[in-house]
Amino acid sequence: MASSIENNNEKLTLKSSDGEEFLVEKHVALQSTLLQNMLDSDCSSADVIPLPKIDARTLALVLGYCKKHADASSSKQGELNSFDSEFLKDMDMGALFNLVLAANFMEIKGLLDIAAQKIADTIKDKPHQEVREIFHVENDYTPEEEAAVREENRWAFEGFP
Amino acid sequence: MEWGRTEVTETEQKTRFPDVPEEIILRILLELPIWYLLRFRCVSKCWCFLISDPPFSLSVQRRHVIVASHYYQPEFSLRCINDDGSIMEIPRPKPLQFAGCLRIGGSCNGLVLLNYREDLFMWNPFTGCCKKRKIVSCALVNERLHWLVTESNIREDPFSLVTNLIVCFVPQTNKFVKVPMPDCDGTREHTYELGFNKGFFDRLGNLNKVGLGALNGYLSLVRCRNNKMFYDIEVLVMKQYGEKEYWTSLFIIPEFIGGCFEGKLVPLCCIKDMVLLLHSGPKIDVIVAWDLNKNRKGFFQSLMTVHILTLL
Repeated sequence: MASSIENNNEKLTLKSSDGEEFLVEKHVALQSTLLQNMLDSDCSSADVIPLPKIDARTLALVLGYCKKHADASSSKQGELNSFDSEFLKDMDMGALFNLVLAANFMEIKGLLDIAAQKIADTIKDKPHQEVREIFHVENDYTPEEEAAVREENRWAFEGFP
Repeated sequence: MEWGRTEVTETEQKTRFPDVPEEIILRILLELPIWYLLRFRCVSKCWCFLISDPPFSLSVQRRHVIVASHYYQPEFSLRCINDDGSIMEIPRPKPLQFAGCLRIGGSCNGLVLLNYREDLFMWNPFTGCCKKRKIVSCALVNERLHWLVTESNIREDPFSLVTNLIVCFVPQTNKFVKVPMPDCDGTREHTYELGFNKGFFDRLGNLNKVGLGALNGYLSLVRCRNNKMFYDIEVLVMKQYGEKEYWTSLFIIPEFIGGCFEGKLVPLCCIKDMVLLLHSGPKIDVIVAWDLNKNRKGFFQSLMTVHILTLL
């Protein structure tokens, strides 16, 4: 079963922002369009590829996702879907945002989609004050300005504080 | 202080919150229906700008049905059928706050073309942005514009049209080409009429009407089988573009409306587990919802009369 993988057991090393190195099978790394392009464009796979924006904790998560998706056959979509939802369950917002950034940087579309969707679902029914805290956004409105914007969009606020 | 130290360690262990660039914020916000987002304009000036920005509204790829009440109805309103099948009223565009009856002329990329008297307005129903425009746009499948044509127009059209023909315009080559129709069980009783939202064909008397539209990006055709006293309505999609054998029957609505079936029936979109069809004609204007799981049909009753619909 795994023979095709073993035949192609080239590995490459990824280095996180905090200096930790991860040895990754090539077919797993190919889940990332960024790495795929690097491999296609003659970057030697023996080199260590630094990922200066991604910390070790996030990179471990990303690679876990990539491995699962690289190893699963396409017929097991249902299994992958339940893996995806389990994967993001109970993840704190900081970890989720790091994951979105990493997926965006490494160009892993599937992961970017599910992580962005997860954050969107989390903030969907929250009042804007809470969303401000979640995104660590500073409120630069004066109370009058905020009231005016709110008034303009009054119909969207039904049922919200 | 021991407690203080413990707290510091905990804070350090907690995930560092990254700086989130605007493109990522946008990426996340795009997952949400815009009416959720309007509240988030209050988050900060930057967010307000992001959510009001035209590229944002242009990039939204969701399906919603916007309904304007009938032109002649005194209580004019604009409503939206959401992805989950719920209905909500949406405010009128600001410059047209007190305008009488608006017509929906078409839609593209989340923007709706409104027609008020002699003027055309480009309107984003969810951000409320509305601008006077001259350009008219139309819905596309596979980057091509499609029409269903009948022989009644054969002399007025420069292209040799025959009965039951789907014609599409290919912008790249500037040419009209035929798209194969599904087989009609060897009979000639099916006459197809123009679909999409633009009805420039006249009504064709008592013919069995059908419509052409797009469902989930597939070219879709509604056809009508005469079944004794009733009509069965069949909805098909072309699963692979351009290939005749890939016309697939999605479902059949049996005994649709007895005898007096008039007007056209255009596939609109899929929401939740339903397929929406617009049934319009001289006396009827209604949205038909076909429940795929329960195999039964319903109507959006609360909508009064529907003028025309738009996909967002």
